[in-house]
Amino acid sequence: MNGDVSRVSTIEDREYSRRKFLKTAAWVGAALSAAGIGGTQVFTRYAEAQPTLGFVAFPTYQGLGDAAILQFAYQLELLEGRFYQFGVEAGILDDFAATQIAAIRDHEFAHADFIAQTLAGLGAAVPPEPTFVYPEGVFSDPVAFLELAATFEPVGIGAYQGSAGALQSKEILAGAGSILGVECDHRTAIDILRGISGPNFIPFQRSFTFGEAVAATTPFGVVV
Amino acid sequence: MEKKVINVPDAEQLARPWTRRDFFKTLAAAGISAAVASAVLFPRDAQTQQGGDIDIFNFTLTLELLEVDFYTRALGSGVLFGEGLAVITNNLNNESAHRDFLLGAIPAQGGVPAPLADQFVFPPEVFSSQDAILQQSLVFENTGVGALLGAGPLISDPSNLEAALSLYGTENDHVTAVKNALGFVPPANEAFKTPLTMDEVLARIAPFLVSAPLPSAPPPSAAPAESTGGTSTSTGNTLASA
Repeated sequence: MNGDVSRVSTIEDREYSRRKFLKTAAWVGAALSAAGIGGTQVFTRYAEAQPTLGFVAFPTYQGLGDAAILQFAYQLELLEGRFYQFGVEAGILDDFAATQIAAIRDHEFAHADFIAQTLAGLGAAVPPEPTFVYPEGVFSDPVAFLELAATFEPVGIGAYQGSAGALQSKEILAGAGSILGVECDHRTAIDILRGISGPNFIPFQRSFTFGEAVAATTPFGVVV
Repeated sequence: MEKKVINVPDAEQLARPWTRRDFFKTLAAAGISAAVASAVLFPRDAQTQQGGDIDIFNFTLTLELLEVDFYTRALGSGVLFGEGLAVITNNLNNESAHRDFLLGAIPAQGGVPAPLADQFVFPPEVFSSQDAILQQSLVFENTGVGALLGAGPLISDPSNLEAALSLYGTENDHVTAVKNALGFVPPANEAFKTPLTMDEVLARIAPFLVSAPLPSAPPPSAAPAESTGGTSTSTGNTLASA
């Protein structure tokens, strides 16, 4: 397949391995089962020996409301945008990587602008930018930088996907869906920069519960 | 790297003013007859729309089947190598997983899946080189992205929405991986994804749909067997037996 790529997670309690990603099929099955829909048999060959992973279909974003979901997403975009900005400014990346990371940085800030504009439309507060804390050394070592990037992007994907069903406004849902697709582009591009051949190896994207998304971002300064 | 100015859309622009009715009503405008399109997208024995989320899942299933067929033939062409081969192989595996998911989810919700086989024709030139395959792949993948993004807000069950977004995300992965194999710099080069209407989706896939003879709408005289790039050319029987 894609060879062994070691992922030394710099986030304390969280490590995303490809193996875990491939088990997302089991999650989709579990989600459907939980909803009484069935059809899990189609996943058996992907889920292998992990029939139950305990994933819950729509956990915990329910009841937050559109504004709170967006306020969280806004900070997540800024967390990523600043991270990529500092990575570009550090001058540690080769030309190809620097071009891609600069584009991703611009996308994240555009997403933040979009969300701020949407929050304003709702009459809700745009959160102040948190004081972000990034692990020591990530801006001096391109490998460490890209490894952390590879953990950030799935959080964004998982948070947008996980919260979609809880959004009340269909317009906001469409906007969140648009951004979700771009986060998937980023996840793939980061893996390309990490030298992974065939970076499109995830059949089903994984949702994060709100708790998981919070746990993955608050250590960096996101405020909930 | 200089910061690029990105035009930030507003939410209304991204959520074009669709209702389910808008999304499904204008099949005819895509350059194929509404009857043929309906027959391909919705099963013969349930030609009226089945309602709920099943229509959207069936529509998605048809796109997945188109891609599975295309990638299967692409891998059989023998012209793929290196990164292109790796990316197309993964695309096939993922689209096959999506197909299997939908084939489970549709009947589980009381629906009848769209017909499975022999619906598509491809001109031989799309398999003539790695570049041709990747270019066509990019069109199909972007179509899948736009279709699912467009349909997403119309899905009523939150579990189905989450599942559809899970598939949608992977179509985006495909777009970026294919762009990279084509040499795009940078490969991830869009700040926002744009939804497509059903008409726009149909316009892109219509050239690849076999026109099946239907009692209510006889197709134009074209004989698909003359123009296929691949092995499967049967037409009416497929729909009749579905």
